[in-house]
Amino acid sequence: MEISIGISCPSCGGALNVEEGKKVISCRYCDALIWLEGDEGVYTVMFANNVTKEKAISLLNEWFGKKLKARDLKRRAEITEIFPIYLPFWRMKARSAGWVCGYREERHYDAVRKTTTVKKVPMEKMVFRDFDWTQIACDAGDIGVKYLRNLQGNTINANADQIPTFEVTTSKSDAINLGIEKIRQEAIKSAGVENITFQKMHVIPKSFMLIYYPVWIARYKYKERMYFATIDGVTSKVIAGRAPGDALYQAMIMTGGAILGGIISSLGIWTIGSSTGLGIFALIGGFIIFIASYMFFRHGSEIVEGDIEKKYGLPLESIKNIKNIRIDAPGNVFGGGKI
Amino acid sequence: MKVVQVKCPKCKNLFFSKTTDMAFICENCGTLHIREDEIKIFDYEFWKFSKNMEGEKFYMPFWKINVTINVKESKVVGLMKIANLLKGDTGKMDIYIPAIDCTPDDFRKWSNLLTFDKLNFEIEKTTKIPRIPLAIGEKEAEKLADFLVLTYEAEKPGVLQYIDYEMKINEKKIVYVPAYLINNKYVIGL
Repeated sequence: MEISIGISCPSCGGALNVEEGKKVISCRYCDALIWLEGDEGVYTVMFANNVTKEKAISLLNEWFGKKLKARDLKRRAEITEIFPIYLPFWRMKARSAGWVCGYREERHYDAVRKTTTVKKVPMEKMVFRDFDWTQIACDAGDIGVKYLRNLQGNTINANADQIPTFEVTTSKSDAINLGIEKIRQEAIKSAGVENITFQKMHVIPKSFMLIYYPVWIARYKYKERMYFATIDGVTSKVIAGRAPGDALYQAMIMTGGAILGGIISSLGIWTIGSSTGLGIFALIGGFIIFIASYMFFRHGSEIVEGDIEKKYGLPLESIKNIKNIRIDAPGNVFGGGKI
Repeated sequence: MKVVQVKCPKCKNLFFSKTTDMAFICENCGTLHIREDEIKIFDYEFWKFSKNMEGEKFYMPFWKINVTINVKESKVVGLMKIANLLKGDTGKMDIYIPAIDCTPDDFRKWSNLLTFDKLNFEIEKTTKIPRIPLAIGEKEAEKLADFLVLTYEAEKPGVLQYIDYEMKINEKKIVYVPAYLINNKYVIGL
């Protein structure tokens, strides 16, 4: 995308359009090579919004009927406002080049499954890959979007001043430092070395940009309580939101969880005599199922989706949250939240 | 924002070109300079094409970095433990860093080819064959040289567990290596 920043060629005086972030350009009139310096400008990309208001309402209605939300939500929800807005995101693409050395522990068991030996298996892993990192560049409040999940779409030549946007509140230099550090951590983690004895990881930024991404924010009322949802303006997916849960589902999961947890725990107690390890494992498993179903029962009156702090959650969901930086690949989800 | 026309830091000749590049070679005095945080002059050379291939001819820039490596301490386990012999070793070597935007695979392939294979070449001072724009700056090249030194140590027999080494850069220059563009891929023409 080209943005005119209104400079004249120092050789012929011709007006030039400069692609933001470029350091060297060739004058289209006289071929003079021009060097630009001291500019803190960032290459900026704005995605086109593909979703109309009608489509956003229809997507929201579809979302009301999914997962464990209140069964009458579709019928009783009253949309109070729905509007499009552009959210700014920092995006860094960088190459990581380094080595991570260390070891993993290999446990050996005897016949009664007691650990007899712990063997250290040495590891040395090279990381030489490109990573992408994104993070929201503003304080968007609790709208459940912290990083970009999609980087495919049509861009538009538009000025952020002419379109409603959230203002960028984090500095470019802070974002660069944070991006480098997050990519370094992710690169080290990607080596998969459990116990690290040596590491050296260079992070070489390849590009850094600001992306304005369209989202629809919808607020709706259900039984006198306010909820919200966020719709991706490029992919037409509901990416985050809060919705009322359903009492029937809560009760069913509580009952089912208590029964299943109880059966597994009982089996565990019964097995302890013949196989202590397996018995204890089953006992703990049953207890976890019971606790998980209780947590859903207690907090499941509200269903949350997206990058919103959940009141309850299973261990698997926590693992998903930390895997939000991905190796560069077209069409992949990119992100840079918690590591 | 400061807008200046690029000129040779040595003879002050102004630059005109349709293509943009980080490395500027003066048509008047032949000086090559690179602009990053500051303007720096670097020595450079072109290697003559020695292979005749079908495809468009280009010159591909590489950083040639001469380094002195001093391995102070290393701990290697596993096969032969041969790398322990490196303790206290010091040596000089030339490392070649591809200076264009390329995939990690191409980076390693070209870097290894020039660093380890003794390729025969002749030097020519000037050429009309187009150059692929240099995209890897000096600082980036230094980081990649350090990574490659570590790679050469890690890839020796045994499993590296710890290493303390020092890499001193003695000399940096840019070499333009002949390349053919065949089916959208560059092939070294030596």
